Amino acid sequence: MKFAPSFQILAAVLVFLLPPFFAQGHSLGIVRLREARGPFVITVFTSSELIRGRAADVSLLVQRRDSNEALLDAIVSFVLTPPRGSILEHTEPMCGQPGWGTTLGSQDKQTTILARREQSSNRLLYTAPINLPLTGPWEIDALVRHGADSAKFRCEIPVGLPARRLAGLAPYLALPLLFVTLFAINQWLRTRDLRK
Amino acid sequence: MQAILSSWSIEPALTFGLSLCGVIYVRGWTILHRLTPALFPRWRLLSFLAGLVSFWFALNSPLDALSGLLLSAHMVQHILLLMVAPPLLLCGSPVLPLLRGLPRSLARDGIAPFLHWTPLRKMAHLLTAPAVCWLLMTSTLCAWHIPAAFELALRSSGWHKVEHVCFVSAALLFWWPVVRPFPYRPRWPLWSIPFYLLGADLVNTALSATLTFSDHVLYPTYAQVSQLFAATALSDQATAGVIMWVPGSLAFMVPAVVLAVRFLSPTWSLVRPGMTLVRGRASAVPRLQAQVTQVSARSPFDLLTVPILGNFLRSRLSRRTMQIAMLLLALGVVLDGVRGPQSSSVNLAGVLPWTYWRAFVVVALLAAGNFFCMACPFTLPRELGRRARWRQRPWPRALRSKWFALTLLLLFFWAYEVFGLWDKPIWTAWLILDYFLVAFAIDALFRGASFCKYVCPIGQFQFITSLVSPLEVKVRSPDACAGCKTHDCLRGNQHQRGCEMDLYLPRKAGNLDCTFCLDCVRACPHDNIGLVAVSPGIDVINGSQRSSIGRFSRRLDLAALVLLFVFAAFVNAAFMTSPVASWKDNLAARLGMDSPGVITSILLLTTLVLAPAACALSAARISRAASSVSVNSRELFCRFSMCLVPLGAAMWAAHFLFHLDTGWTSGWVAFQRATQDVGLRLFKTSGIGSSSPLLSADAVLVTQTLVLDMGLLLALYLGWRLARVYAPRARDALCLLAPWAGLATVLFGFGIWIFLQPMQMRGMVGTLP
Repeated sequence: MKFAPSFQILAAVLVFLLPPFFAQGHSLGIVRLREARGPFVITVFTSSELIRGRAADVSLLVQRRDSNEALLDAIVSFVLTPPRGSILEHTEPMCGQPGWGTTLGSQDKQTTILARREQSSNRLLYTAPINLPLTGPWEIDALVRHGADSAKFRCEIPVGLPARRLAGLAPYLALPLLFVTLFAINQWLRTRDLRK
Repeated sequence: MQAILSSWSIEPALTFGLSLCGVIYVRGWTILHRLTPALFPRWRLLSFLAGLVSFWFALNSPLDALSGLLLSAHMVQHILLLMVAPPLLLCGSPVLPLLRGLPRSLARDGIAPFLHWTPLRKMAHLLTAPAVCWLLMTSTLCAWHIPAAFELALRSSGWHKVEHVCFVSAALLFWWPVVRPFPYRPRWPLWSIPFYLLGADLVNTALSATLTFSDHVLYPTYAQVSQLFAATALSDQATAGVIMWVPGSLAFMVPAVVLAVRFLSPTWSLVRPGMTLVRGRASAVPRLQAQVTQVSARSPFDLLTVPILGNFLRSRLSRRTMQIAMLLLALGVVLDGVRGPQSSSVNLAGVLPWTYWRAFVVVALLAAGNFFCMACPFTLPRELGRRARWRQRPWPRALRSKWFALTLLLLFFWAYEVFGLWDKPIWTAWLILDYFLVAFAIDALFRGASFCKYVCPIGQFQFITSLVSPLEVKVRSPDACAGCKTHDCLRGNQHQRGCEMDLYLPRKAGNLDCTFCLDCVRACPHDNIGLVAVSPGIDVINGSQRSSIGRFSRRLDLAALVLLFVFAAFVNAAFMTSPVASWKDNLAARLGMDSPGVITSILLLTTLVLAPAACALSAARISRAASSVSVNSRELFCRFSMCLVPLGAAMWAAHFLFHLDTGWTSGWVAFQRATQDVGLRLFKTSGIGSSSPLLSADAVLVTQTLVLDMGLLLALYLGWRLARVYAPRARDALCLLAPWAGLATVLFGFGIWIFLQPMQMRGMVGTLP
């Protein structure tokens, strides 16, 4: 193994392509609603794009209206109402994956899901993983209870078609292609070196 | 505050990647430190590891969770990514340790050809020019602080990731000419580097001043979000500006001052990292290069040489202890399966075998070796049978192949789907009981380990998966075996029996049929057998005669077993998806059947027998027709089928990891319930059997995809290596490989489709009675 200067530089650059590959970035998504009512101020976050049939998180930050202090012992649930005029089959799954969330019940086309802080990587937020099976504008009622106080907040979220369902996986699906290409170049270089 | 401190979002891919980097570095550093402690002192190791930890901390800690709510937290995260982690990593002089830490063959055959490739060298030369590094860093910094770009990253996790990738890449390049990690040769004189840093600090100051003194909120998302800690969005922005300004400037100024002082010292021109000053001449580099290149070949890792663990594994008692522990667990499963509630999610017979055991076994096989067979409780009856002293006969010659075991494995897959074994604890209990009885009967009546070798379907599953295990029971030195006349590893001696699977170690290759009992290790009088690290899967290429197995090219039964293993991985997972389940039910209803059992049986026959046979036979015929290699189709069928093992193993692993992830707390619930049933009130039960999964849905999907990626890549690599064995010309090798690569890719695509479907849960969620 010889250490020509360019070899060293190149080795270093190749080696340091690795850590950036693993760099991650999380986003809370976009703010769907921020509203003060009763003693609470709430902020609802969802992914920037909700897609039919794909698991997504709805998160809620609950704060005291007077002090902005985050409330961590509230009881938060979401009531999901499908778009008007749509027919929701009783068997349609509403939680992101079975086992992911706790469905409290469903009636009159509405489903109530309990949001929990344990389901969020950010422990300030109450999160419920949902899987909305129909496209169109869904109504989400957030019910917040804390001690004797309670409040109800409503927002509408649009759910789109699953056209870009694979998009999130694209980098991971491209990996085999990338490695096969690199391997092909490697084999070509080795054959060329042998010929030389 | 407690909520904030507990907001960790641990990313498996990041954690695994950084851990791997750390392990490779430590391995390389250990070798180099032994050679030249002056050039690779301990502080370099600590610096590199600190860099990895700070990188991990920035992206997994509560900082990341808060970054969407507080700009100041986001800024601290960026400071860590830009100004803390990269210089710490570079201070570890990571190039040589990382290269040395890689497996020798990977560094030599995989990376070295790229290092000599001229276009890449030119590009690297250009990229590491200090002016380019400076421009990249400052432009990245400016571009991502433009409100539109910053907002984009705040709204989308994908763009946030791109932002971080830009930051880390630019920062690593920027700090390169400053830290000058060995063996980098500086391209700018040392006096210029303080100016280089001051220039970057000017840009940083301008950006931070804009943030600090702006009279409106630059990033609207932070204005929409309710402010925590009673801060307003504007004051949070000003705080972020100050964080960027003060610690950011310090990160540039301190090294600038250090380098200026070094430049002004009388010996500056001679000092480079790792160099010793010998009468004004720097002489360490050539010496080190010579030393590094003279490193002798290392013997492969041997688990049995690891202190404590090695002794534990060698001990006769250790295996018996593990077997008894597994036997007790099996008894618990059987008792609970028979007497407990017939709800699989709260019954030990529903949870332990189908959620935990399967996942742990496959992970152990892929990460180490066949340790389940080592601890298998079903072989305990064999000992009982021997004590009965019945007349034992040899296993019938007609059944000395894998066909019988293959049929049993097929029957098991069929029963699993048709009778829903996962959801019937009592059936699971009876299955385990029957297993003990059959093992006892066969091993009492027949010699050796006939049950393991020719009957046990679980054993066959493990043997096939262990083809891609990284550990193998193997002779350490073939020379020592050459002079051995007693062959104790096979025949045994008065103290220790030999291999009951009839494997003669000097001619044993790979893990096939090896139960990791380590009888051979204990029997060998020369202590010449170890549990040695091997390249996973590479044994598949080996076409030589194997002890007790013969040649792969002549073992049609093995090829069929492999194909069943691979196709069953996909079929078993597909059957738990909602679309396949509904399609099956609809078809049964349309045909007027009460239950979908017949449809399931027909589907299983098609997908586990007809489809694999048709696909592999077609691939073999096309391979033969397309290439000019004179090999018969049967041999191609037998050999190339084996190359699909990694893909099948990856699919099984991805499938079982999903169950483990979603049901990882179910064991605790079942255990609480079982203890209550026997009158032990040890725990205060919550009443809820379900809980949040270990990983988020997205993280599970990514992990599954990465596992399948690795399976596909290894399958393709093995296929290529095997093709090169038959065809020295690359074009012929490609023709040979193409049909098999196509088959692997189709299976891979099917696997991805399965991952994207809503899953039926199989006994994972429940409520305590």
